[in-house]
Order: sequence, then C-alpha cells, then structure tokens
Amino acid sequence: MSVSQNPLILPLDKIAPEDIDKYGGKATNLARLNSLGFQIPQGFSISSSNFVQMVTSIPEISEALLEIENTDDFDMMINLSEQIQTLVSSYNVPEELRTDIEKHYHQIQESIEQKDLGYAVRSSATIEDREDISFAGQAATYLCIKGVSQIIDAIKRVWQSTFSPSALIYLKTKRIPLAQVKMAVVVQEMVQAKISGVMFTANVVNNKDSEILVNATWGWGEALVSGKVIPDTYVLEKNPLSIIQKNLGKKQMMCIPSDDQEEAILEETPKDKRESFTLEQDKLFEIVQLGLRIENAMGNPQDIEWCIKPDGKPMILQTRPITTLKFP
Amino acid sequence: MQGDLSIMKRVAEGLISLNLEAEGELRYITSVQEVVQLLKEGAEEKIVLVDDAGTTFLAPVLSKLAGVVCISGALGSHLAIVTREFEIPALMGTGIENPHDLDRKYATIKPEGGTAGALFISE
Repeated sequence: MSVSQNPLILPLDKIAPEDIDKYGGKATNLARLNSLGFQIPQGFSISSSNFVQMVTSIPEISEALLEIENTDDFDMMINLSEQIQTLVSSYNVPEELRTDIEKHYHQIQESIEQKDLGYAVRSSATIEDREDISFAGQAATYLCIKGVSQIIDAIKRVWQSTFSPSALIYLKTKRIPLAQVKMAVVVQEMVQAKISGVMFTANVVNNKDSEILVNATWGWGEALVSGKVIPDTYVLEKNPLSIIQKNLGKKQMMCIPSDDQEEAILEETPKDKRESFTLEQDKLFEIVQLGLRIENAMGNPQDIEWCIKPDGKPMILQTRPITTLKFP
Repeated sequence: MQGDLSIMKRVAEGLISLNLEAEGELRYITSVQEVVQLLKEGAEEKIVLVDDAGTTFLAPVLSKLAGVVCISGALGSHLAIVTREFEIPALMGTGIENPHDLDRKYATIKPEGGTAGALFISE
C-alpha cells in the first residue's frame, strides 16, 4: 500500500473513528471530539504502522515478547523488558518518517498561538482507552517537548514505554497477546492551564450513572493523574445539577512550566491556593455540562481530562469510556 | 480478632475507588523489586501501601491483592482507574506520614459512604 493510502502521520482533524487500529484510542477519541466541535489542543498522530515497522526491523523484540508471553518468572520478564527497551532506544527512525514529522511540525507551528510551551508527546496504543481496557498510566507522556529532534526522541521513548515491565505485565494479566499491541503516538500543542482535572460522568465508586465525579487541581493535570497530589473532589447529582459532596484536597504541588518554559516542573502550591477550592460553583457546572455533552455525543459514560486556560475557557485533553462501571 | 474494627485503630481516611471492603496484611512497597519479592512470597490477601498513584510498578500484583492504600492521589489518578479494572478497592489521598510503622500490620480498608473510606490497623 502506498504512503498516500496509508499515511505515516495524520493531523487530529483528519482522523476518522474507524482509524483506531492506525492511530490508537486516544487519537481517535480526540479526533471525534474535534469533529463534534469541542475545543482540543491541535496536533497530529504518528500511525502505529511506524511502531510496527520498528518492531519488524528488530526481530529480537518479537523473540523477547514471545519469551515473556511464555513465562511466569517476573525476574525474567523484567530482564527481557529491559533488553527490548535498549533495542528500541538504538532504533534509527527512517528518513521518510523524520521528514513527515518535520512537515507536520512546521505546519502546526504556523497555526498555533502559544509556541513557547512546546508539545505534549502522548501514547495512543491501539488497545488503549477502549471500553474494557484503559491502559491508564502504563505508557509514558512527555511534556514541553520542543523541536523536531526532541519530538522524535520523545516518540521513541513512548514506544519504549510500551515495553516497560509494568505495561507488559498489565497486558499479560489482561490476557492481551503482546504481539498484538501497536503504539501510535499523539503530538499536541501544550496549552497553558490555570486549573486541570479529571471528570467521570458516572460515579465509579458506587456505579451510579446519575452522579458525576470531578477531581481538580492547580496547573497542569500531570500532577493529578500521576497521583503526586491530593486534588479537590466534587460529587454532583446530574438532575437537577447540584453538588452533593466536596472535599478540599491538599494540592501540595502544582505542575507548571519552568521559568524558561523548557520543561514542566512540580512546584510547591502557595498556601492560599492550597486552602481554596479550585472551582467555584459556576465554573464547576460549566465543566460538568461540557462533560455531559461529551457523554451524550460519545454514547456512554466517559473519563475526561480537561483544563481551564488562563482566559477562563475550558479545553478537553482526553476522553475515554469508563472501563469499570457495573450497573445492576 | 483480625478484622474486628472495634479493636482496631483508625489510622487514616481517604477517597475510596470502589465501594468494597478489604482486609489483609499491609505491606509498604516502594520499588518493583519489592513487588517481585511479594509475588514470590504470595501477594494474595495482602494490602499494599504506596507513596503515590504514579505507581505503575504494581501491575504484576494487582490481580492478586486484596486492596491498595495510596498516600497521595485521588479517584482520577491512574492507580485508582487501574485498580478498579482489577476490582479491588484503593484508598487514595490518605496523607499517611508514617508508612514504615504500618508495614506488616493487619489492615482493613472500609468504605464509609459516598467516596469516603478509612484504614484501620490491628495494634
């Protein structure tokens, strides 16, 4: 198949829902949000075919995966995982892909307003963000990545993380054949965030789809999803929309750009911010109503990552089906 | 008697990821090597205590554990999402300051209504 029929990279606004096997769960869900008119950071996705090409060109990777598949010895799995990651790190990205990344990078650079924060380079595995498997946090995300060389390096590190001991054992436990996993990678503009959070449009604790759970913290959401902070928690009733529980989180740290904007750093949250709720009722309701529109559009309860920009406008960073709901 | 809350000490509160009770020996885990060691010993009916919810190295034991306690994090953290997939409760954001003191004590995670939960330890 020619490259034009099977592009190595596609902008998020060109990806169709049926492209999940090429561009992964995260990218196709983002593309769908974009097509429905929700605000998402601009970006493009590196097709999983590039990952497959890398694996195919290094036969030792498939051999090691087969060994992992056939063993219950965790020491051996960790050892093999390290060997695979070393092989991936030594891979030379083909010139054709390098050129294509450069082309898409320059196109997006011209169209975005905030160029100084760089890009987020995020995993989008073909088995990720499905209705039964989240793969949450198993593969890596890199923030504030600048320039083509750094982006290519970050893409390779995301590919490497597919083979981390944790990711491989998660997949084995879920009985997913390791050779079946293909990793696409999303490259998205970094957006300045005043507040970030996660919202479940059904209450995952008690399985009530009449309730919504919201976590929120100051700065970028990385500190929240990676569990470095205790965020604020809100539980809401959907109809009529009302707050039924709120807990003030300690929000000890916040993830923000460094002074030179070269990297994302964790900095101690000022005392007044630690002691204040991140979301006033009006803003909380605005976020929740956005979540309900996404749930309605996607057809089932969603686990949504969002942020509020310094101008007060919300943006959606990710949506995926909630994997764990059990309705009676 | 193990698991009898009337004679156990309440040591922490947090947000519970699933409305389920869990009990077992608590182990404070800080590295993948300790996870592998726990697997060799037998992770069944153990509750694992970890520092933060970026702790993806727990993957090998999640299908075997009774529960997880996390010093930081919340219901939207990756660890809470993944533990729910394995149908075990995680008590998140407990703020426990003395994790080593709780290591190898018998523990119970108890839901307390809404998203609240608490950790009890046998003296």
